[in-house]
Amino acid sequence: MLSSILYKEWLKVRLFWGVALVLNIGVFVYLFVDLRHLFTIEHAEMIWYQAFKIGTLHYAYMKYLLVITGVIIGAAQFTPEMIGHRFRLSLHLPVRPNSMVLCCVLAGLLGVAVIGMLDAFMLYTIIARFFPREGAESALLTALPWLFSGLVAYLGTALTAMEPRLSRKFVYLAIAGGFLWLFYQGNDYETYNWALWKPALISMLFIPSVILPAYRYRNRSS
Amino acid sequence: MENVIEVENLTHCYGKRVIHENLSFTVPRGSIFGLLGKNGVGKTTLIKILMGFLRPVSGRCRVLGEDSHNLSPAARSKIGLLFEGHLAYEFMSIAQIEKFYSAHYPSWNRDLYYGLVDRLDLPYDHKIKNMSCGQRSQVVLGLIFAQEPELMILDDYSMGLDAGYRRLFLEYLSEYVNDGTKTVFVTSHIVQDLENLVNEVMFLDRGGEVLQTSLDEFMIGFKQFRFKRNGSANTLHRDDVIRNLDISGDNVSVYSFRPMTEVGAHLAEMGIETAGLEQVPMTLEDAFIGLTGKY
Repeated sequence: MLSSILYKEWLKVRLFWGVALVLNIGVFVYLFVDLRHLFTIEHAEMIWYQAFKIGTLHYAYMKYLLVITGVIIGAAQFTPEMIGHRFRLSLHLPVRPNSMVLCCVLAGLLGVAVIGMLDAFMLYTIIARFFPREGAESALLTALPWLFSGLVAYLGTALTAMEPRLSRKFVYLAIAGGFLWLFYQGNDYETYNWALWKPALISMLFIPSVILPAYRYRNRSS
Repeated sequence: MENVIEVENLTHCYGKRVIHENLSFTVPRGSIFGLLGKNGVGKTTLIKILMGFLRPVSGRCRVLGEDSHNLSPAARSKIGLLFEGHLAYEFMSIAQIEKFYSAHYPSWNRDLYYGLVDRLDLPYDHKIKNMSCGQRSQVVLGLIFAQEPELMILDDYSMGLDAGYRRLFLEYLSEYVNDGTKTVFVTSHIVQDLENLVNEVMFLDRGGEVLQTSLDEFMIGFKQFRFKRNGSANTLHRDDVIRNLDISGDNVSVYSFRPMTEVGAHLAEMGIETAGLEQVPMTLEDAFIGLTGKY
C-alpha cells in the first residue's frame, strides 16, 4: 500500500522534479563554463590567490539552489492535495493517516535528496577538474549546509501547505525561515565543519512534526 | 438488525449558526438510505462528520461499529466514499488512478471499473484534469464500485451526470445492493432518482429539524390537498395539522400528514372556504418540496 502512495507522489511531482533537476544541472553546467572561462582569462596563480587567500567562493551561486528545489517539490506535492480539500481523498485511504503522511513526506525528501546528492557530485567533480582534490573536498564541506537547507525548505513548505489554518501557516513559515537562517551564517570556507550536525539534527524534527497539521486537518470543526 | 451507522445526539455549529442539534438516527445494514434537504441544511457537513473530517461540537457517531473520528484502515477499506463534487486526483490518468486504488482494496473489481469507464470512449492515458465534470464523475463512481465496499456513502452522486449515465448508475447501484448485505447512504439534488432507489429517507431542514421514516410510510402518510384560492386563504398558516402550504395562481395546496377529512375540518375551523378540496398524487420530488418548501 505504501508503494502505491509512493507511486501517487511520483506521478504528482515528476514533472516538477524534472524541471528542478534540469535547473540544478543547468546551474552546474554554468559553473563549469564559468570556471573554464575564468581559467582562460586569468592566470592560474591569480585564481589560486582569489580562492585560497581572499576566500572567494566561485560556486556561491548554488547557495540557494537546493532551497528553491525543496520549495518547488514541496509545493508541487502538497498544493494539489489542499486545493478543493483533496487531502480528504488521501485520508480516506485504508492506511494509517500518520503512516500515509510520513510516506508522502519521505517520498518528497527522497526527491530533494537525490538532486542534492547529484549537486554534491557535480560540485566535487567540477571543482576537482580545476583545483586540487583538497579544494574539491573543501567545496563539498562548504556547500553541505546549503544542501541540507534544501531538505529544511522542503519540510517547511510541506508543513505550511498542509496546515489548515492561515495564521499557523505563517508561524510554520517563520520557523522554517529561522532554520534556514541557521544554515546561512557563514560566508567562508567550511564554516560549519564542526557545527553542522547540531542545526541538522534539530531541523530533522520537522519530519515527525508534519503529522501535526495532518492531525489538525482531520480535527477541524469548520 | 445491525446498524452500520449510528448517530446519537449530534450537535454541530459553524460559529453561532447551528447546523445539527441533537441529531440521532441509525442506518440499518442492507438499507438504501436517502438524506434529503435543501442547500445549506448540513448534508455534506453530516457526511464529513461521519467520515471523520470534521469534529462535531458534541454527540457520538459510529460507522461500522467504530468511532467515526477514529476509523481504522480496515473499516475505511469497507467504505466507498464519494466526495461532493466528485473529488479525484486530477493529475492521474484513467489507468493510473485504477492502478493506484487497486492496491488499497482487497476485493478490487477491475472489470467493474473498466465496465463503467469504457463507456467514456477515452484512451486510458487520458488525464482526469482534462475531463468534463460528467466524465470525471463516471471515473470516480467506477472507482467506488470497483472497491466493492460494504457501505457506500455518496454525496450528491448526480452532479454533472447526464440523464443516460444517471440511469445506468442507478442500475449498477441496484445490482450492488441486490444481495441485501450492502448499505448505501446517499444524497442527491435529483430527488426523483431516489424514489425508486431508497427505502429509508431522512429529511433535514434548516435549524436542525429532522424527519426520518421509511419511504413507503412517507409516501403514504404525507399528502397534498388542493382547493381553489379565495379571499379566506390569505389567513392560512402552518400549524400542527398543516405542515406546509403553497399558494400559486388560483390554487392553494396544503401539505399534511393527516387524512383529508381531518384537514378539511381543520381548514373549516380556521374559516377557510375549501371549494373543490381534493387530494393530489405526489412524486417524491413533489413531496420533498411540499415538506421543505420551494426556497
